[in-house]
Amino acid sequence: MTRVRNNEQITGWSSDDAVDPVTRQLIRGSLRAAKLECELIIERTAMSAFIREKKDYTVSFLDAQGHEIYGDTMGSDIMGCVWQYYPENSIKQGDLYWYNDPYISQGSITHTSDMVFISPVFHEGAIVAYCHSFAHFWDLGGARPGSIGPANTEIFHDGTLVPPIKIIDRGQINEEAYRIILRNSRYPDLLEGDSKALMAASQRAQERLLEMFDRFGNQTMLAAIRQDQHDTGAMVREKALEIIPEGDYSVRDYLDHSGIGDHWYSFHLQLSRRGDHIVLDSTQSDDQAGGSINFVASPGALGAYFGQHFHQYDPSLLSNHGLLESIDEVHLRSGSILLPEWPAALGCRAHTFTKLKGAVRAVLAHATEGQVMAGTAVYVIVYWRMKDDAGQWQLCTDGIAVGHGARPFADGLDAIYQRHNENYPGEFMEMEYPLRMERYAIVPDSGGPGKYRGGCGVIRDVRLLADTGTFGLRVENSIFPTWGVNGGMGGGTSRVVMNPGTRAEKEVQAFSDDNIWSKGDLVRIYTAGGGGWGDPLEREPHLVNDDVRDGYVSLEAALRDYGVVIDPATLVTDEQGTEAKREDIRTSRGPTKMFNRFNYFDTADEEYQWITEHFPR
Amino acid sequence: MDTYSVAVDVGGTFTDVVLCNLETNQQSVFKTPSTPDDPSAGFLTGLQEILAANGVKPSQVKHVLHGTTIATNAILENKGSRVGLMVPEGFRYVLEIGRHSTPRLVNPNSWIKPERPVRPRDIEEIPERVGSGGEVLVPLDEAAVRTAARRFRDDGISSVAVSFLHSYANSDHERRALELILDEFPDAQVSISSEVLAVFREYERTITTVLNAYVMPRVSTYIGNLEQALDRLKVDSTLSIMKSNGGIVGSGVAVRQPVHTALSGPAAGVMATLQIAESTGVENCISFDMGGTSTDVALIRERRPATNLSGSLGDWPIQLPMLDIVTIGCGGGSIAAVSGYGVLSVGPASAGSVPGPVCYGKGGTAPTVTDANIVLGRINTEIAGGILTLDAQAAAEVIQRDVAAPLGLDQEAAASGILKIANNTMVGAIRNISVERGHDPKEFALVAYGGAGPMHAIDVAKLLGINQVVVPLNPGIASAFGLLVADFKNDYARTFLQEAPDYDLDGIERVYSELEAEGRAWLNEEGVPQQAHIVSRSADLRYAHQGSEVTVLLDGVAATSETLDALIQEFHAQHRLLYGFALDQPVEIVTLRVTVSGDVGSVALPKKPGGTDSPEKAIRDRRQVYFDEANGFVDCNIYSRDQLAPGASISGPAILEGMDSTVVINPGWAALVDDYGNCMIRPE
Repeated sequence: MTRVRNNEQITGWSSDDAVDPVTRQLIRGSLRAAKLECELIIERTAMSAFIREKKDYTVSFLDAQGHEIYGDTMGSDIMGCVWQYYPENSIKQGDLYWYNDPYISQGSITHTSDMVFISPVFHEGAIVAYCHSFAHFWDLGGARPGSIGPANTEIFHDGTLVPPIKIIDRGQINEEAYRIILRNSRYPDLLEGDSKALMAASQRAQERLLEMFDRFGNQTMLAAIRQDQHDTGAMVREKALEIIPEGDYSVRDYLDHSGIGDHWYSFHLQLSRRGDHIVLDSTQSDDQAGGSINFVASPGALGAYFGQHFHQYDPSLLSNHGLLESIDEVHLRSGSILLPEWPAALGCRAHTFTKLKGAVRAVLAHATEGQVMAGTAVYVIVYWRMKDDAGQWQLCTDGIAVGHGARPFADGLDAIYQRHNENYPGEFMEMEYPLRMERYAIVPDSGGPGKYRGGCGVIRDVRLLADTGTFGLRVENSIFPTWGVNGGMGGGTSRVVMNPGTRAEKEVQAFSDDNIWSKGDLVRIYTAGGGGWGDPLEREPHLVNDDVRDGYVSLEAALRDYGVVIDPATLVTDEQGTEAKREDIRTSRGPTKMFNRFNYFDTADEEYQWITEHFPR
Repeated sequence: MDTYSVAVDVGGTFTDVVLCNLETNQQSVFKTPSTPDDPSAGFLTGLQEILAANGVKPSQVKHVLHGTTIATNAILENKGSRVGLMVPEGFRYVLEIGRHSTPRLVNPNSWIKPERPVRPRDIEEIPERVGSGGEVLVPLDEAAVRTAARRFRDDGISSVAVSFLHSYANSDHERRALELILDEFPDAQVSISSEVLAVFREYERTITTVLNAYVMPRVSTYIGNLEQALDRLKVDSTLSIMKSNGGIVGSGVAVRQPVHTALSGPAAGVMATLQIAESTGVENCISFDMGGTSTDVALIRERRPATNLSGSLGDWPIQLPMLDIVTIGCGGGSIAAVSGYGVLSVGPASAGSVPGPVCYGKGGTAPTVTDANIVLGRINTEIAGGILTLDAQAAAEVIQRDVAAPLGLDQEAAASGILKIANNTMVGAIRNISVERGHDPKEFALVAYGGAGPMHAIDVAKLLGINQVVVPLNPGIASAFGLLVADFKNDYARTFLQEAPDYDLDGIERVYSELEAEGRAWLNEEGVPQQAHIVSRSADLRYAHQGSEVTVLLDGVAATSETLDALIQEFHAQHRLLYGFALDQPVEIVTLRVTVSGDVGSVALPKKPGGTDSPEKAIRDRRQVYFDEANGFVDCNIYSRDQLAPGASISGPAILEGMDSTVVINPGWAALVDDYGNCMIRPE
């Protein structure tokens, strides 16, 4: 599948249509306020903990062509599949559309748990915009409570597929369709509460946009929207051409396995520039997996990852459709792990897209001599399932933080999940479920050493209080750690242990499902750390000392990785000893290279060879 | 001999003082520059000056009321004390991990985690554990508490916080730890989480408790010094402090729970708004307090200010009962800037009071909202009675250079654009406290104060469809006045989760009684007579599985099945109002709350002494003022506000200049001066 850049965003706009800068800023401010308001509705009224405590939701606005006006641009073609079923001229005021089908939507939605609700905005008799709300839902039926999961092998295991449907027809809810969808969930009350919250948000968004069209006028709004898309597009394009030198740059990343205990997978990403033509190609990636890590990567999504990287150079511009304009062509291969064919399971695609986002930075590392953020670990999900006294299955889908990559200007973030998603407070888990959280801590030495240290992962200890239960682990990076860059080293790996420190201690496969536990069993999860940036021997010794005092780095690692000599009793740094130790390490280690994970390496091929030797498939 | 109350509000630029004769209700006001390095200096100067100017003896002062930003600034500027924290075993990183999230709308690639007020090295894990039902799972290791307390003492850490899991359900371990710490370290100042904030969610409760400990040494030194100074001055009075909930408490409570004063100043402004609304017969209003660096807005419905339990200060959540005040980083000193891609933004960067706007001539080089106002003729070049001369020419040049030229606009359009963007930001904040809470701003009056509020109020009102603006006589000292009118007030809360349909009525009644007893004991301590006690109960409710609660007032005092039914019906109604839908699903009771207050004789708004018999005589000048409605400059009368008598009516375009602020009346609007000197401004 190939997408060729449609240059209309940049060329199709004429400065004759310019809206005055003050009005444009008023419109931007009003869009931001509307987005926040509608998201707050979701947060305050949704019922499943995944949305309300973890805050996995968003609201975005699209223009009449389905191009994003303002939102969390993921490059999704939200409207394409709706129009397949409901031509534009059949869409009426008061309608609300709903879907979650990753295949029909060609990757606008990438696993069934994500649901999208869309309202059209009519002004002066015509559609001028669409609003959509989006959130991750708790359970839609499927193989196990929580629907998506590590052991699934077909999309049918991932729960109910909702193709684009009109759930509200001119204000009237389609009770029959709604009943079918609710009936298919193990927790219909949660599904009803969450979907009502999303519908309310989408409708409020529609009202807010309508008010803006009234306030600023139809023509002015449309022209301002177009101009913002153009400006963002022109900026990311300009940055791409400025940053990427002529040539080919390729990287690979590796996935532990696909959840069914098979073998590692690898994807390949190549960025090429010839003249002013930039091409992205992932066709040399592995074939699709038997398990659930397949990712329906739309070419738009890949364009968006690049666009987001360039966007950070001027965040004053809106995040919108223009972000897709930095790359000219994107090539994906159908049947590969980055564009699987029906009916592959997709539930754990976060493993793949988190590493893919990292790969986007890694190719840019080649192009920019390492001025990018190092590899970030894949955020973790655990499905705790407990049988309550009445024999009913209870589910707690627990998101757990990881370490993020170090930056050219700062340490990586310790203990962050991804963006604004929040964890469950221990007090909440214990009130709500027969679980006890006994430890929630930093994993020392999990952050990749570097001039800037990678972020540390966390330890979470959870004990079962119910009689019986199972748990599913969506934990990556147990075999392949994150990569360090520009001399920085790779991060620590993840690990799961049951009943540590007892006679019943047992390692558990980090990415697995249907693990059985019984009353009193304790599961300990160590999550992975982020990669480091820059040579660890250049890290200020007092920062290493601080990390030791605060428990982020052990005394042994301070000496081994950073060459910093600290007195174990007084915790005072021996400055002369440190200088000598660093000189020793420099001599024995030799020069650093662009990337590090297991070893230093410069090219994707160099690492691929090492990995195939040491981790035979 | 007459007795007096004195109210002192310390703001960023000025310290405002109001002296009120408790017999005659005669009030006088005084302003003195704030002294940020030691705010008590400005406080005492103001107090002494106002007493001297009015011939009042210190011994005649019965109440000293104070609004302070000392805790707020210590938190915002990271200038608190080193804190030692005790947590249960396994939770040393509770603050570092927090909710494992970045703020919304930041780029995680460039965001840097803010440093916590206490580092992991100063956090001691104590073997102990309480379960979610309050049951003890692991007994408190008393030796470990003693060892930790000694370690803090030896390291010179005198402020200690204790936050154990589920302490809202059983605070025994925290209370015992408090005793043990004081036993080992009698000089320690100890904050325990069950006393600061007895509600669930450990990160939020712990950070709030730590912030309490973080500012406690500073606040107690400050208040101690003030009390000593008052003693030296022979002021025979107690000192009371405004809390974030709009109530006042004795200085003893403020020292123990300083984090409750985080919104002290803005809360006082809201209390003033309430009084202004009452004097003008307004039922529903929105307070609009625009100062130099920020603007505070709050909603008052049926004469009751809205409260909020999920506030924040700087980077930290503070889930204490606070007035629902939204603060936006946009004020007179906010800087206008144009990005490389032609995006014009206003704030949150601010020129503050130093160097201040360009027109102040104190070294400011970036165009600000105030500069835009002066370029458009809305402010006199001579303000504060001629003490300060503003440089309009310099303001015009910098707006031309930094905004007009890069955007290809003329100078007036650029200046007007800066104001429009600032006003749009205000509108966003007001929508946030009204529309988002299910209220239509059109049904509210806008009460404008602060140095810049009355200049922007009509533009903001027009954008919101509001057709009544009220500007009090002394907009610059509204917060100080608010201190005079506030009651003693404290909030008590405890998480007590009850699932439908088996609500434990006896348990609910027991918790309410305990909270009420605690509240009444405090009122007695403050000297509020029994007959003046006001007790109100409320509860936080949610649908089973929801994560946010809606606070609903309990109809009737005792918890019976009838009053609970009414409570639940009210919850459904509130949910529909707020979010547009209600559900036929079970409702949970999460947190029980009691608010106690005591009216110790509020002060009323004084009537304004007369002015000239005809408004024409109050005209002091004419000048060209820019109005968007007129698409340019128009000739405009400038009135001296002091000389406008009650009953005077002025049609816009007009400017009313007072000692501490300027009221801009747009074309098509007219102001009527009421008996209290308030300007009631409506469309003509």
